[in-house]
Amino acid sequence: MKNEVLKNYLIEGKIDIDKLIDDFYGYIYMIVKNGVSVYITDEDIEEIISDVFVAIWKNSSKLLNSTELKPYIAGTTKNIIKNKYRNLKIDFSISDYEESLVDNLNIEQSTEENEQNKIIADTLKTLKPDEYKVFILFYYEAKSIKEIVNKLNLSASNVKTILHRVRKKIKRNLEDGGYGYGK
Amino acid sequence: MENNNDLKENVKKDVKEKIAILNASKEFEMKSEKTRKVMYQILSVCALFVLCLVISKNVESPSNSIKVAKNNNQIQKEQYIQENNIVFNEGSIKSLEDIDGKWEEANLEEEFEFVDEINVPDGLYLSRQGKLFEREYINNDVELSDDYTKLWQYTLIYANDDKEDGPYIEITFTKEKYILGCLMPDEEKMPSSIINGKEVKLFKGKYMRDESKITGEAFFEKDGYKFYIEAHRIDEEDFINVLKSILK
Repeated sequence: MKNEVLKNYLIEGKIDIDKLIDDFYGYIYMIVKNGVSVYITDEDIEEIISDVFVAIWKNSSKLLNSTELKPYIAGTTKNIIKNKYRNLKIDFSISDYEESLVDNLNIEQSTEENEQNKIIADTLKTLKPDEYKVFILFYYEAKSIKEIVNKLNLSASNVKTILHRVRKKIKRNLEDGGYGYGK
Repeated sequence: MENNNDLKENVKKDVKEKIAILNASKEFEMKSEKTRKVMYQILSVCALFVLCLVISKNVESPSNSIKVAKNNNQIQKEQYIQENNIVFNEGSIKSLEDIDGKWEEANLEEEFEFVDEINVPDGLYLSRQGKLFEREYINNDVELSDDYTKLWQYTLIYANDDKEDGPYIEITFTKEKYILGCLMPDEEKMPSSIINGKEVKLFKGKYMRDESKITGEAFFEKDGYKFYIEAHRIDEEDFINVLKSILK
């Protein structure tokens, strides 16, 4: 696989997550599967790979367009595996894949879900299909109400009502989980 | 191989969901009650320690302990401002002067994209929207024109069918130097709140018939426009949510 740089995965300054996953999923899969010396389930592999891509998305603004992604991804994967299996011995032979590895232990934000995000994630599991679609279109694809209306063939008031309902559910669950606005 | 493709598709769905959650969590900006309680407990202990220290050193000068008490209040207020970024000023910036202008109904939803994104409480609808025109100065700025030709500001009004007791929100915005019907807030005397990274002057008053509701006012600038929001018979939280949806 030729070395790919970040700029090849940017659309209007934002990371093309689908293309990134298509091109590097297999690479990360191999690293995880062969590098972790303990038994690892498909769910664990899926979680680690997801966390790697989320970490790249979160830190993409700090990278140069000319950053080579393979060593960066390999380094991120290594750190995420190390964090996940902190108490276990890991035979991590990353050198089979890369001559030089970018050590990105300086990544500010951990990909571990914090408590608040976990509550939101649990709320998503209770959403109806149309509520989930609106949530993803609004918060992941950053679509406007008008664009969501056109994409889902719903009325504007319908979309606004759905969004309002989802926000209320999330807020209620956050409050039940001990979070609140300051007074 | 098929299993691997399923895994890849799961990863795509998972990644998109996690990114959406990260974006959504910024909107809520909620603080853990547990964290806040622990911080206030620590603050209280520190404040008590400082108070005891000062009292033990200045037993014969009571005015010093009053100053320390005032400083502790200031610390707590600053902590509150820093943590929550919401500070309501007392009073009102609504002007009671009659406005000399001409109102025209207009479809602002088509003209301004942000109107679609405004998050109003359930049951409210956009009942009126339009433009206010003023007279212009003519003849070397000596006289005012007879006609109202200068577009001065835009207004959106949200209400429900209960005109007396129901919530009511009026959003006015302009590119001009000031908003008609609103007094410019005193920058120095009125502390600002920060909502979604933008500075906002907030004011609130009680609604006598229902203690859970407020009369809220907000003033801020965004994208070259000055905004004045006036809300009546509304939950404080709903009022802040309206502002957050405009200040995205």
